[in-house]
Amino acid sequence: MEAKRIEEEEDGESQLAKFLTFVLGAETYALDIRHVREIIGMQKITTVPDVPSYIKGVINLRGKVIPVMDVRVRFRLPVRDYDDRTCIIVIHVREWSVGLVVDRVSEVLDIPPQQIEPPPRVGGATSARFLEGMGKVGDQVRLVLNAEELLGAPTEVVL
Amino acid sequence: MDDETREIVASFVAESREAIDEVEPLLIEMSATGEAPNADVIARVFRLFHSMKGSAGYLQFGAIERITHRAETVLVDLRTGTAAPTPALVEALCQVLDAVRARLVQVMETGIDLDEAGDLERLGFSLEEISGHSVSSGVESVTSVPTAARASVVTSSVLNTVKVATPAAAALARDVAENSEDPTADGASLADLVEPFIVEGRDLLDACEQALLSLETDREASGPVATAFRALHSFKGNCGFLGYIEIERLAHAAETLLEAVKEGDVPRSPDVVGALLGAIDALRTAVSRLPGDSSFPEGAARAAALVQVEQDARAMMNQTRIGGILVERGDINANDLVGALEATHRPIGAAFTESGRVSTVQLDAALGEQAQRRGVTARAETRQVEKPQTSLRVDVGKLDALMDLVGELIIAETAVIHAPSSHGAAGSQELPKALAQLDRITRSLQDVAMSLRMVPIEATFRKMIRVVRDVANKQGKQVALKVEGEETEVDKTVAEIIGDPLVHLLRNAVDHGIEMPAVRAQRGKPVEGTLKLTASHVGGEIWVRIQDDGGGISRTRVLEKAVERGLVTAAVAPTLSDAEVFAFIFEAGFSTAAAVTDISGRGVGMDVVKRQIERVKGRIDIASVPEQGTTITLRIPLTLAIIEGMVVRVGDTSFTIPLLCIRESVVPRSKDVTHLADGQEIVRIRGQLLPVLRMHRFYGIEPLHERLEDGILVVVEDGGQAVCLFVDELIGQRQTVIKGLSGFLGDPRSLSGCTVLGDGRISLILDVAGLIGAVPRAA
Repeated sequence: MEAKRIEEEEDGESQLAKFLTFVLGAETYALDIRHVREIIGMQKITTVPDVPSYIKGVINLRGKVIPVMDVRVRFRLPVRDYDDRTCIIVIHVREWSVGLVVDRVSEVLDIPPQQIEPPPRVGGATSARFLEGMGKVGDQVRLVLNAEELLGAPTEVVL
Repeated sequence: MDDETREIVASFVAESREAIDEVEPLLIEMSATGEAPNADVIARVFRLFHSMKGSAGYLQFGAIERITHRAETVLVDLRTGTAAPTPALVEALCQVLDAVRARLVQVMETGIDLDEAGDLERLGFSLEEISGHSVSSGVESVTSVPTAARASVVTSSVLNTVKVATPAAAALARDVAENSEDPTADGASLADLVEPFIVEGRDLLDACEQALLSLETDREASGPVATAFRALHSFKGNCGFLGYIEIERLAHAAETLLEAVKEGDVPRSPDVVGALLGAIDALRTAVSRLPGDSSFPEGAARAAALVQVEQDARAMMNQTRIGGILVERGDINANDLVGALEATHRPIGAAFTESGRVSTVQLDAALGEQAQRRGVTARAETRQVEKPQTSLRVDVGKLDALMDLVGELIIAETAVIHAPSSHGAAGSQELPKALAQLDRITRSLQDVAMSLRMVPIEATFRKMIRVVRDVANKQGKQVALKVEGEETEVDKTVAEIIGDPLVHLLRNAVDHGIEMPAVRAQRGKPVEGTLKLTASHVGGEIWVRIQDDGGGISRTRVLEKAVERGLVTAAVAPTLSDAEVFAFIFEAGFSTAAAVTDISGRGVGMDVVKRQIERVKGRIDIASVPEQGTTITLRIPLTLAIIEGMVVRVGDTSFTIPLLCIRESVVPRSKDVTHLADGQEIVRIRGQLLPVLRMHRFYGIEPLHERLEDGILVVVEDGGQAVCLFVDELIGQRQTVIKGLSGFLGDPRSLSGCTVLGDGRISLILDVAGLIGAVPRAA
C-alpha cells in the first residue's frame, strides 16, 4: 500500500528498491532482486566433502554445477526437514552462482531506501552481520540481507 | 533551429554541463594538493575537454572547439610533466570551464556559437601563456581533419606491412597515440592496435628464428634466408607504424645484415647467425615489455654490434676468396688470378677448372679450406619450412564459450537419451531411432569442437631446438636433437603448459644426461649425443618422450640422497622398484647433481615440472639404464574438457577416477589383508604390498560395506606410488564432460572437479596425486 505508492512516484528508479522476500521460521528476509537469478524447487543435493557445514553440496542446474547453502545453518537456526515448500533461490554475486535453501519464498516487494533502517549495533545476534538493514513494510519488518556477506569469502580448507 | 537540431544541441549541452560539474572539483583539488597531479584525474579532465572538443567540432561551435583544444593540449603537458599544475594554471582552466558553461547557455538558446566579445579567444591565449605552450600551429590542421578520417588511417591495419612513408602519416599516428585516452571518441585507439602487434610480433620473431636455425645447417638453401628476411621486414614495418623507434632501429640493423647474407656478401657462419639470433632475443625482450614500457635502451648497442659483425664478416669474405686460396695453395699464381678476374664474371673456381688450369680435386680441397676458414659447416640437411596455411585467428574466449555450450549439449542430450520415456511406446522404433541419430550428431559435434582447440605440438617442439643448441654450446657438448611427431595435435592449453617443463627436462638431459665428448669417446659412444623428442597418440593420450643416450640415472645415487633426506629408510630402500626410486627426483629440492650449474642442479626444477604436468592431468614416467641413457615419458590426456573415468560409488556419493591413474581393480580376500597396529590395512596384490585408503573414512561418508571383502579395491598410482581405494561398487567406465567445482567451495582436498552423469547425478572427480599425497607414507 505505502510501498506501492512510492513505486509510482519513482519510475526508472524502481529496480533499485525491489526485493525478493523469503521465510525462515518466524522471520521474513529480503534479498535485492538484482542478485536473484531464479527460484527452483528442492532437488537432490550431492554432498561435497571438506566444506563448511552450511554448504550442503552441489546441484545440477541444467548442466551447470552450482554450490548450495542452507541458510538456516548459516544463521545457526535449528534445522528442519525439507518439505514441499522448501525452495532453492539461485543468486549470483560477484562471479559466483550459489543456491540458497529456504523454508519458503514469499513475494517481490518494493522497499524504498528511506524505509530501511541500519541494523542494530548492540546485542549482536549471529545473523546480524549478514544484515544490510531492517526494512519497514507497512507494520511489518523485513530483514534486508547483504548478499555478499551472506556468501562470505571462498571457503579455505586446512588439510 | 529545427527540432532535431535543438535536441542534439540540448543533449550536447546537458552532457557537457554534467561533465564540467564532475570535473571542476577535481581540478580544484589538483591545485590544492600542489604535488604531482593524479594521473587518473588528469586523464578524466583530458577526456572531458577532448569529448567536448569533438562534439563542438561536429556541431560547428568553433569557439568552444578552439578553447577546448587549447585546454586539451595543456592537459597533455600536465600528463607528460612538461607543465606543472600551478595555481595560476588551474585557475585558468577553471575560468575556461566557467566561460564554456556560460557559452553553453547561449548556445542552448540560439544554436550558434558566437564569440562576439572574443572572450574565449582571450582566455585561450592567456591559457597558452600560463602554460608556456604555444598551440596555435596545431589548431588549424586538427579542426580540418574530421575525427572519423583519423581513426580510419590508424585502423587500416597494423597487420599489413604498410611502410609508413611520410612523416606526416607518422605524425598523425603519434597524434592519435597521444589522444588515445578515449577510445570511444576516436573510433580505434592506438591501444587497440598494440595487442595485435604484440601477438603478431611474437609470431614473426619466432618464424625468423626458426628460419635462422635451419640456416646454420644448410648453407645452400635460399628459402630460409628469404623467410627470415620477410618476417623481420614485416616486424620492422609494424614497429615503425606504431612509433617504436628504438625497436625498429634494431630490427632494421638485423634486416640489413640478413640482406647481406641473402646477397652472399656475408657467410652463414655461426658468428653471423649467432649475432642475428641474439638480436631476435633482444627484440623479443623489448616486445615482452610492451605495452607498458616501450623503451629499449639496449637496442642501440645491439644494432652497433650487428654492424660490426657485418663489417668483420665482409672483411673475412674478402680475405678468403677462392682465388686467393688457390694462389696460397700454389694451384695458380697471382697473375693467373688477375687475368681470370678480368676475363670472366663467372665463379673463379669454375673458370679455372674448365680451362683445366686447376683440377677438380684441387678445387674441392680449396673449397673445403674456404668453408673451414669461414666457419661454415658443410652439412646439407635441408628442412622444408614453408607450409601453406589456410587458417584464421579466433579469440580463445569464443572457443571456450563454444566448448562450454557443447559440453552442456552433451549433458542435456545424455539426459534425454537415458530418460525412461525416451524408449518410446512399446514396439515403436521412431523415437529410439531419432535419438540414436541425435546421439551420433552430438558426438560428432563434440569431436569437432574438441578438435578446434587442438594445435600441432610443432610450435612447442620448435622452440626446443634453440634451447638444446644453446645449452650444448655453453657446455661444450655435442648434441643432436631429433624431433618426431611434430604434427601430433594437442589441446592448445597443453601445448602452452608443457613448454616450460619440456625446456627443463631437455636442459637436464643435456646437462646431466649427455656426457662430455671425451667421456663418450671413452665409453665407445659416438662423440655426438642424441636427444630424441617424440610425440604420439596412444589410446586416449598424448605421449611425449624425451630419450637420451647419455649416462642414465644412477639408482644408487638417488637412493643415497633419498635416505639422506629422510624420504626413505636404508632398510626399505632395496625393496623399491626403479620407478619408485626415480620418483624421488620429483621431491622439492632434490638433486643428485654434484655440481650446480647455472642451468640445473639447484633442485628447484623437477617438482615444478611434475606440478605443471599434473595441471594438465598428466603423469611422468622415468626409465633409465646406467651408461646407456634415460627415457622420460609424459602421458597427457587428449583433452582437458573430457574425462575418461571409472565411476564408483561410496555410500551415497559418486566418484569418478581418471582411467589414466587406474592400474586395476580387485576384490580382496581376507587372507590377503594385513592389519598394522595403527589400523592401517595393507593388501597383497600380485606379490606387491599396497596400503588401503578407505574412501568413506577419508571423506566422512556412510558406506554400504565395511569389510574390504564386500567391496572393491581400485588400485591407483601416481609417480611410482600405488594405493588401493576401497569403494562400495564399480558403476562403470564413462566418458564425461569435466565441470570445475565452483571456486566458491574453496579447494576441497583431492577433488579436481566434478562431472554430470547420464542420469543427472553429479560425480566428484578424484585428484589421484592429491589423494596419494594425503596418505601418510610407510616409514
